[in-house]
Amino acid sequence: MKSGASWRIEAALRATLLQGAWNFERMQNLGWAYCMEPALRALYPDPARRAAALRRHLELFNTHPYLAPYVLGAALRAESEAAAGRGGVEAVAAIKAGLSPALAAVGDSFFWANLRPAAGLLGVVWLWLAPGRLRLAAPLVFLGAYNLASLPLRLRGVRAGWLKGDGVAVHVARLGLPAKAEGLRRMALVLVAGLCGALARINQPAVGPSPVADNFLFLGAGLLMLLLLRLSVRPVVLLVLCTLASLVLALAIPPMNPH
Amino acid sequence: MLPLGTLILLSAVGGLLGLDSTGALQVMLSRPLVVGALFGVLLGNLSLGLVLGSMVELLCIAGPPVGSLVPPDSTAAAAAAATVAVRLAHLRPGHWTTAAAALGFLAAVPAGALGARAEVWQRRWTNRLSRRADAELDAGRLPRLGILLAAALGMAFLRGFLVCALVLGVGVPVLAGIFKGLPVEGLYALRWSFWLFWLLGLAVAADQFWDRRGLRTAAGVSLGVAVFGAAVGAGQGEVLAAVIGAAGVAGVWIWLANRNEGWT
Repeated sequence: MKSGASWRIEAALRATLLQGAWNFERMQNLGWAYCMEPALRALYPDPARRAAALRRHLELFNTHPYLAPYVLGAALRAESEAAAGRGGVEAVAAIKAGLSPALAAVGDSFFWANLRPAAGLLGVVWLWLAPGRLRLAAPLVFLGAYNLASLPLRLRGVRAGWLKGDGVAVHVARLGLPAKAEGLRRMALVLVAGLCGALARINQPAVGPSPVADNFLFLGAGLLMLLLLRLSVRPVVLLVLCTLASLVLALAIPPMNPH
Repeated sequence: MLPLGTLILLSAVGGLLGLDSTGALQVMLSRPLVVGALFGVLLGNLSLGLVLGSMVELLCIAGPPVGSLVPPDSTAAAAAAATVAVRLAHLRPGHWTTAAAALGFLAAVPAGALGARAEVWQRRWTNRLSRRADAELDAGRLPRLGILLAAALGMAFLRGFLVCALVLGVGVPVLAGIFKGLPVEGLYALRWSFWLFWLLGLAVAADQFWDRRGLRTAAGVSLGVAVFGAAVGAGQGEVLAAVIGAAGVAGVWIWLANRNEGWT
């Protein structure tokens, strides 16, 4: 029989495939059961008990994939206690039902809505503003910034969940992800603003009487698009408008087009 | 337009990278900036691939994959944009690279929509695997979860492969024909639209991070770089350091100001 540490490591590795069989009916259920499988095999040598445990873990499950290891660690602990007769299987279901929606909300807000776009923007800023061949490192800057911030949280999850049990929610709360998300939002807004200013200065087509006038025209066009987006105009509509505006510009002022 | 071997290679790479978006790892290898760079390398023009990847990255910056929401397929979009731009860039004599890039960017839109549609079909198909596990348990057998998961991942790869093959196999020759036949005014229009598309991407990113409390800081940095940076003749490296430095300071400031607020 494998030791608890061995299942936890295997579960943490398998958690990278948590969403491998994402489906509309029960979402991450197959991936979740796949993560639990090594522990269930060790805890329940009797096939009938193992099948019953597997059925429990094939029920609907959905949380943020990066914070799922925290739920996984807590569920592994509850399951091992239930198998040893120190608790009921209801505790496992309660941990899954209690933790997964809260961690999904925190994870979606931090990782998907803020960290990923902010790291992407950093890569884009790097691409457009880094001198010479350094700009070609933009994808590495993006991947490095994103994964340095997210991988440590993912890697520690199963162990933290195992150690804290159903108190892992407090542990995740202490990570302060909402405050960090606010910081990332502001950082990203300043990155966008800086890139707008820099592109106006460096790369825009020259149409006005002076470079400063060009800069204001460029920034003004960007602000108009932002205003339309704030008024809930869809980006695809703006894409069509941009294409039409370009056609008008090309017909109106062809000699002033840039090279 | 694309040799069959190249089409198969690009589609396979697109399918593999697409797995990272939901099914496996999720270390962001599937994001447009990375996909554009990789496709640029494979097609012999890293620089142009990167530019297209960064434009698609901005356009797809919103739309997180929350719950059952399926956002546009940014991997297929970046693959289409980079491939079209690189393949079309040499079709017309003269400096029409930005025109080819604009057409590539336009190709990203249907590619992203088709990829999302295909992902919905694939997820519906994956429902069957979940039911299959139940059926095996009902029959008194323990389901082989690893095999079911591998089947789901195989399906996801096949979806990404087929979307890329369709988009690149059909899109590149069609757009090449259009590009070759365009009058000069059309090429000028595409060249203009390249910069407008760039601005649109930046506007989408600004909209995503819109926050009234940060507007003064953002406006100050933007105008400072555009006007003051030009006046003092700052180099590109200095501008990069100034922008990243200002963003870092603003971010840490807000984080420190909010860190004592609890998680409710």
